[in-house]
Amino acid sequence: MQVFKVFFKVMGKKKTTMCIYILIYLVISVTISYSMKEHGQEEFSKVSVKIAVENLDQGELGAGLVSYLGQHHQLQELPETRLALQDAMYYQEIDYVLAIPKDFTEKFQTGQQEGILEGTMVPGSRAASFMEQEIQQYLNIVSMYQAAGMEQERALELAAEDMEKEVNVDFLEKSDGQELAGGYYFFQYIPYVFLVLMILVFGSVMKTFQDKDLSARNKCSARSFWEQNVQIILGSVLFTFGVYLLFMGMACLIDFSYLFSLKGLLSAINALVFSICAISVAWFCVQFVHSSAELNVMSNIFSLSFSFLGGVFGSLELMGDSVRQIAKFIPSYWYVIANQEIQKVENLAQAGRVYQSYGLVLVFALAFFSAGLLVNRMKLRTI
Amino acid sequence: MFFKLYRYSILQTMRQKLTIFWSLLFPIIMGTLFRVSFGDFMNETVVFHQIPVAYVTEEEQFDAFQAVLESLEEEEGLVELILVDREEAEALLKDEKVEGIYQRAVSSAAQNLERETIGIEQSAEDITLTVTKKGINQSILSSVLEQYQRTFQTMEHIAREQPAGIEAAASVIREQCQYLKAGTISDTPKGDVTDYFYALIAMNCLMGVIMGLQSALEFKANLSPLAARRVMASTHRFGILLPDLAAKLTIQFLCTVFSVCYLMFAMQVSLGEKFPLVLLTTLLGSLVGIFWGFFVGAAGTYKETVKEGICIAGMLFSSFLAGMMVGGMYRFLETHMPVVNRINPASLISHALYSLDIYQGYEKYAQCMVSLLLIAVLLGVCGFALVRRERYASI
Repeated sequence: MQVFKVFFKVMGKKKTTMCIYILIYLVISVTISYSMKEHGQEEFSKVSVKIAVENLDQGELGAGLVSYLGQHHQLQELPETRLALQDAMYYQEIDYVLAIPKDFTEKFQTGQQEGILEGTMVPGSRAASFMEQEIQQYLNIVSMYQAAGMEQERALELAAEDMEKEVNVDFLEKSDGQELAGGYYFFQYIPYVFLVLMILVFGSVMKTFQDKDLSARNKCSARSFWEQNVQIILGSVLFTFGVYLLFMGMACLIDFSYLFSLKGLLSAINALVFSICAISVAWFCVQFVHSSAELNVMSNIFSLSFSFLGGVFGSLELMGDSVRQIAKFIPSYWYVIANQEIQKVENLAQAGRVYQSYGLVLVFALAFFSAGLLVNRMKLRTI
Repeated sequence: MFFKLYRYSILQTMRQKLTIFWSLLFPIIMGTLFRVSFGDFMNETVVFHQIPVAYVTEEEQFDAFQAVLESLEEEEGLVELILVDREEAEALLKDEKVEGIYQRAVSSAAQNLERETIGIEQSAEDITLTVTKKGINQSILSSVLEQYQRTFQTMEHIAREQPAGIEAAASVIREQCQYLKAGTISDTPKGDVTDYFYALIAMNCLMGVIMGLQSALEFKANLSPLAARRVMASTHRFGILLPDLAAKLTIQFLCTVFSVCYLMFAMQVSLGEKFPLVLLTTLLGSLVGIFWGFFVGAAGTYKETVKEGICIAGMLFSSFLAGMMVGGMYRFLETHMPVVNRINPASLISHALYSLDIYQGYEKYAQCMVSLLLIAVLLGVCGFALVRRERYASI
């Protein structure tokens, strides 16, 4: 098993690279898993908008409005300067700024209501549209009570009571709006790290074996061509499984209960299928490189483009239709689709689209392997 | 002499394919991927668009809620109403063609009889809203329904406590007063997603570290055979170095300008109207990158690979701190460790571009540019000081 041993000896030289990527991945996936966990919930609730209010009003109406907004939205401190306000709105720390003038209550009572408040927002912002709707709604109700001839105190009391009324909003399916498990985020970024590791590490080993002089020397050795290839294939399989098992171990540490559930099982199969695809992509890439620097270029191009276009980073929902059509020709797209579909699966019978995605990723694996083989054979003929 | 060496250096740099790849093609690839992945983030998640909503009703008589929705569609452009049956509505919702489904439940005979006795034709309580996710659009749809139901409740309160005022209250609904007047903070919608593009341009400028490093390696006789041969020449040493640095700065600047133009004109990324100042920023950024690499190359006698590692790690870390990998990093550091943003070259380049785009005045922009200039001068002076009057007893 000399070739097999050399395979891992060459790979050993890349252990620093492997450790760096594994560590980075662990930090990022753990951080994202924990930070995203807060967002999901089982019951529908309205989005809470971040607003800053400058209330100069001396009367009760301004205070009533601020109190209502404070119950349902996040009141933020108004930045002191315009530049600070621009920064806060750019970074979406404030979605809307409401200015209530000092004679707001009096003017409202005397009927001077048109354009009485000033709202500052990012142009065309939908959060601001929602906020305006909320403010309009509250003032409309107060205005109705006042028009009906009620005292302001009673009008505000009843308006506050009316504004308490909330509608029941249902989710179409039970799984909609439910919290996504930490494991989902862990598996989401797997394509990037698998592609980088496979191309850089497996690629550097294969590059060594494909070196013109070394391969010529190996061909005239006592080991048959077939025997050498079997040992290389065995090494590749062991490496792929090793990387896969390492990441499953990490998944186990991050979200033990998820990995040992039905969804976890499907996610683990998804990652296994993608690891096969990643090693095929690495095999394809290595046919075009002549140096480590070029391998580095290849790993960046393939891992980043597959991850961005496939929806691993960012979201498929944000992509335009035409880009999404192109993304369908990338294996990581089907991996991401499977990862999303797995979250909706309650039993194996519902996992039809997941199996379909597995199949497509395997087809891509076969395509990259065959293309790599073709290029390899063509190169051999030219030597 | 200067121009002859400058021309040779330009030709030599342009023939280094990997350097050109990292300085020219890699930023273009990254820019394209950023644009494809979250370039439409503002349009898709921040900017308001008419919300498509399905309404399922089996009532044949006049439907007040449908009238409200039609008015919101025609007069305010808030919703886009689609009248369908429940099955079709669910299919539309699953395909994300609509954001929600309003449905009026069919009233039973007993309910109709009860309403007739109290004089109400339809109840606001019968309407339900079904969604698939929680977002601003779903919140707006929920708010529309709430407003409808709350108005019913308000009328009930008025009917109970001040029945004489019911007509006046109804006139408030009809008049639809606009209490808010809009004030905007900028002309175009911007969000922190643009930070990725600012940071990308910053990284592109700092890619000059590779070229700066090469310049140092080809200048120090103890680091490369080429430099050893060049040192033997009778030409003044700075006469060799300056054209080389000028050529590398030219190539790096042109690569960055190409990337900026690609982002602005091909990818339609909005980087503001002040294009000449954007170019000035990239020129200064490229200068910092070149001098950074030159300084690292000139300092110490480490191997080329070690120096290259230091340069690339430094450049990537600087870009990371500017928000290249994690959005909002600049803002986070500004809150917790503002000093990092004052000395980190990538943050300064990125914030200079941000200041040009977002602020009306040039105060913040000038601060960033002065800091960048100081860093460039510091690195340049230190680098020149390290290679000045260098003599080798043995190499």
